[in-house]
Amino acid sequence: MKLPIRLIGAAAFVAALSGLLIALSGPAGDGPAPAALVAQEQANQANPAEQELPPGIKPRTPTGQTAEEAIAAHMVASEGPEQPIPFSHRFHSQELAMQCEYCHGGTESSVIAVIPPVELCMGCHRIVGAQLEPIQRLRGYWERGEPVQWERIYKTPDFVQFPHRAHIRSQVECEECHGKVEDMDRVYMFASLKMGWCLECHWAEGEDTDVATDRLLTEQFPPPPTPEGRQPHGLYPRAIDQEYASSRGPIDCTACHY
Amino acid sequence: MKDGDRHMNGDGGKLPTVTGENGAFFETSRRDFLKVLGVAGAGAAATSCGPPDMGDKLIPYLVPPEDIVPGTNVAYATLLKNGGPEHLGLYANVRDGRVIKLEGNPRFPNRGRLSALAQSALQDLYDPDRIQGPRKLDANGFVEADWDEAVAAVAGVSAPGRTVLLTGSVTGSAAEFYAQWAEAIGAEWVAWEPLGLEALSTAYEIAFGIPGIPSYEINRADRIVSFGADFLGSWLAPVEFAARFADARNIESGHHAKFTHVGPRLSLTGLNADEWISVRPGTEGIVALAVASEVARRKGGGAAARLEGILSRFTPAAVAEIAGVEPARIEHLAEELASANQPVVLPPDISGQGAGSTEAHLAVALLNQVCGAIGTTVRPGAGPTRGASASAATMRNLVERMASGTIDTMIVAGANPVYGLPNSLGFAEAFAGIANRVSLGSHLDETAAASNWLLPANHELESWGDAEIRPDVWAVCQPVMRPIFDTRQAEDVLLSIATATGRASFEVEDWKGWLEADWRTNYEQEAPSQAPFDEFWFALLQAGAVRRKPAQPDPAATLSPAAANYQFTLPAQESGLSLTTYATAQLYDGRGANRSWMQELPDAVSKAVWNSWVEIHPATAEPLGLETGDLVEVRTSAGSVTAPAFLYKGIRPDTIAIPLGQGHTQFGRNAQGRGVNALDLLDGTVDGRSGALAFAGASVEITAVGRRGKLAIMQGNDTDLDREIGELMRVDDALEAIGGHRVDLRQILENAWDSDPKSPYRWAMSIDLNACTGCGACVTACYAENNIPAVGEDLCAQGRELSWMQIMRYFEETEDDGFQTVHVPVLCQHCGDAPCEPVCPVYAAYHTPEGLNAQVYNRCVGTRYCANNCPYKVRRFNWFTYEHPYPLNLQLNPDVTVRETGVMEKCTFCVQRINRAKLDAKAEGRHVQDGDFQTACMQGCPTQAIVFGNLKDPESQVSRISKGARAYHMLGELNTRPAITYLAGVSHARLSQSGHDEHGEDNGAAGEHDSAAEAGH
Repeated sequence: MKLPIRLIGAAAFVAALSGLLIALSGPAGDGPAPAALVAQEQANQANPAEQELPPGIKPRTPTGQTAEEAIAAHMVASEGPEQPIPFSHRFHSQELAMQCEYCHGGTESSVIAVIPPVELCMGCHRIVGAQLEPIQRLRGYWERGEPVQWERIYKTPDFVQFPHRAHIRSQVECEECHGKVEDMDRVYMFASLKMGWCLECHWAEGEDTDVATDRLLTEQFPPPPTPEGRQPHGLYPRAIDQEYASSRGPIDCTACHY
Repeated sequence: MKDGDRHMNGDGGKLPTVTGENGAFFETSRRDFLKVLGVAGAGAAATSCGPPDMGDKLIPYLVPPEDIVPGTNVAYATLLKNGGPEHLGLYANVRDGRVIKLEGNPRFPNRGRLSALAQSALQDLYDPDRIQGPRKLDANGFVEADWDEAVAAVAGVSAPGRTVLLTGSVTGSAAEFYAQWAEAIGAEWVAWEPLGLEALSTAYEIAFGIPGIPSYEINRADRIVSFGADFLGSWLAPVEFAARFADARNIESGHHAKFTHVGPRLSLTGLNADEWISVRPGTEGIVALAVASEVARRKGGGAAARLEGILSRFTPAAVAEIAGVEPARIEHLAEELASANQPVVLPPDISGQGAGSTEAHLAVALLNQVCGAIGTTVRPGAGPTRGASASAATMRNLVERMASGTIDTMIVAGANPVYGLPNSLGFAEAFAGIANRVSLGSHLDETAAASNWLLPANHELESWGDAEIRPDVWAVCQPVMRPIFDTRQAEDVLLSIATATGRASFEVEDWKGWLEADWRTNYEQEAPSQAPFDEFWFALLQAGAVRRKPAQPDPAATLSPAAANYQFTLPAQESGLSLTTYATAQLYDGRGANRSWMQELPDAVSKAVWNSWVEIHPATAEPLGLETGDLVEVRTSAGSVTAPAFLYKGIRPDTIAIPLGQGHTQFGRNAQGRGVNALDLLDGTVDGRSGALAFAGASVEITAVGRRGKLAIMQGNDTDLDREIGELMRVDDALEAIGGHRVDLRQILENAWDSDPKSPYRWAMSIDLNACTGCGACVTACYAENNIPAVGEDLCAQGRELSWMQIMRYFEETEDDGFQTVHVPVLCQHCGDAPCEPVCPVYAAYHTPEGLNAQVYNRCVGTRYCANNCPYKVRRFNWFTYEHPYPLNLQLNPDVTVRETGVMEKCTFCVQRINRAKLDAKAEGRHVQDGDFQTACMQGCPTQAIVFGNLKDPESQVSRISKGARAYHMLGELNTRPAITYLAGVSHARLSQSGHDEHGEDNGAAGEHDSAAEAGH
């Protein structure tokens, strides 16, 4: 289920990486542009739909939706709560091809998902869309100095400590947990966030990529050997012990509950 | 957003139906219900006087602070000036604009550690009983006022010559500012510190012509003698001294300075002494002279000759009877001091501060001189800088002027004299008689409650400022968060008042401008060729402290003729009971009384919480039929108090002791109406030379009231009944055994059922009982880090306290009928073979692959079998859901679940820090290395007694220490295989039992002697 996306992600990453290497292999100083970059630019101008994107950027397919349509779609959407400002992820992510991290920057280094500050919205909306009523309401928030109180969709209970940065760094795609946000007029709850759902990924048999906690590094620095012949005392979690190192992410309770 | 006030249960099933968006009824999950509730209830009014409950909302910044990622901790360097006796440089960990934890700044003399009282400064900042905005007094009490109105009103009544500004003692820019402000307004500035060091400073001025506090380089000493100073708990610089003390007694480096305590009672510091010479309160000075006389006689030389006149009168025989000590003990002490290379002698503190306190300090200074300590381990003028402080005599003078009607207005900032001065000085009455009483305090303490204008100042952690730590070390403090309430910087309030009077004008707009201008001027004078000031200032704010050239070079200290010919007086022989009062590490002078963490931190001596007590020797208590907990009435000429008795063999039979700090009539919900104010018993006697208040020496009478009081004592048994819970070794045995090996760690490391063989980590800890002084900083750090609630007096008395770490205090008898004390921090041992794990029916207590004994709160159903099975009794149960009233809930650590009723909890080895360190290390593609992070207790300990790390790493500090010769496992014979290795304490005393034999036992291998252990000794 998740594996195909993982491989696609990996392939895309490898492709992007090689693209980066090609780009970096040009000369550093002034002078005529290297042949590789010139060829890329010519290709871009020739066919925008097939242009090569910079590394780490995912392709988007704009549908030609207008801003007014996006606002209307948000108002009548069937799933998800209505937000104080009818923000459409579909419009911003698809039409405008904005990346998740542009607004939700900082998520890769924080335990929480960073909700964009109003200042970031105003970066464009000081000028853009000034004729639209919701944008005027947004500017009202800015001028009053009042942050927008968005309706929260994804919330784990207080006894769960969910670190976003661990998942971003393990190259879990945003869509895996949040669904195809770029198709959403309103953000709705795509995943149940129940523990069983989390374990679907954490329990799965997998490669020992650097997703698994410490497994790869453990092979380089093995701990001291254990003598044979010891009997278990009590109800020790043998199954978890055996599968700890081969799991994709930590399935130890204290990885999330502390 | 993890709000500590709201507790979400697990998904316990479906909730009643609610109407959906489209008008249809449908069954919802809890989440959807709360979503709808959130939308509907967005505008719901708050029930408490705090921010509205934000529920399920995502609220971003409007303009985010640069470079700070929300959800991460940012550390700001700042300084706590009024956190206790010493200036403490610290890092404030700020999360999303709220400071949640304080940690020490290594650049300072406190070496990156803090005291328990300093850790609890967060509770002071987030105190719900703080004054939340300007107030004025009218017929109905305090009502809200406007800042402009308040400033204008105060300015209007600040007539020149009839106004007094009363502050705490300050150094640095604040001192300059107050002086200039007072001059500009025409007011008088009085700086008063309740437990001031005037007597010490005066004595050194007489002796060496160098006023100020000397430095005590205890770490360089090979023999330490204290005449009562509680330097590990509440005197002068306890965190710094604790670190130095541990250095002097670091047995593995081959030396261990013997420490003798001379005084009427054993304080926290006294309990750490190897030897106690018991003398009557008030006679410390003459005993010091007797010791000096013997040392001079043995050493001979110039010092002996110069002081011949004084010392010949004060022989051991002459003072023995008055002091109540045998001459042989004085002679023996003198012998050891004379033969020591680098002795250091510490003076008395307030518990020995009687009517002749300057003389006592001078006597100790002479003793240092005779021992050769002056200029080496005791350096006059080089100690922590203390601002000028009015003595009690000066305050009495002020009270007389207040009562005489010459003062119309008194502005009090950073002082609580209505509480902190004894009634006998009459401050409270005189203050009430002043027409305009203005308080700039941030708390509604006794002085504020007696005022008619409240202009609350920012808390220290919300303030700008600076201080001179030592003559050559200066520090700045910066606000670490926005003011929580409608308060302002105290100096800004004063500036506004001054400007409003029209009699003063200042070049700067505000205090921050003043501070920067002051520093800029000094910087450009002292370092003209260095980097531009703005760069320097920014770097200074990040670093916290800077070393400046001292004003004058360290002057060579020579004994003045005045000191050499001083006419010491031999006090009269006293009989009957004497009183001594003392400051505790938790409450100090009373400023810690509204902090529940400090009320709940058991006192090091009595292990009592939330109350006052009277320390009485059992021999004195028995004829009165008193047991611990019985109420006793204590009467002096000045007044009487009634408090429960605490029978203690660490006090003289002719002395009783009562701690300061309780007995507040205002100040907040935790402080009010609790305990007794021992100052009520003082009659206001002051020392003639320095004017210092006599805290000790008053004659008392005690009577049994005939009823039992309530005294919750958190120590079950005073001895460990030879169960080897707290171990002490003789110093000779310890020195011989260095390099030996007593505990085999393979019982943990090679236990396949302990940690996953593929995991590179097995977390473990070592606690050095030789270094642990029992101060409790670790306990408070744990409270702050892990959202542990304070439960209150009644629940503590029932044994339902929630402290994850407790310091057990065990007495061990010595051959000379004395006793030694060992302080043992007890916390979850994270046993490799934990008895608590197999008995949990729901698998909430289990063993992690890294060796932690984990507790999963959401699984726990509250059977409590795990606590039943734990032999160490370190598991704590939440019998109730405890409140964290706003704004105390802002202090809660978002990385740690806040537990509710029915859930078991215990030390987790700061698993949140472990997980964070693992994520950080993984981001860099490596394992967690030794030193990447510390547990909260390790980080808080002033003596670095606690070491935490990875036992699977043979090079880690914890691995190396756990293999030491003093190592043992607590209750190891039960084969629980604990991950905490204790290192036995070391004492110079002759302990009654033989202690541990050097071979030791590998407690984990069921009695087999390990060949490695035997070979290693």
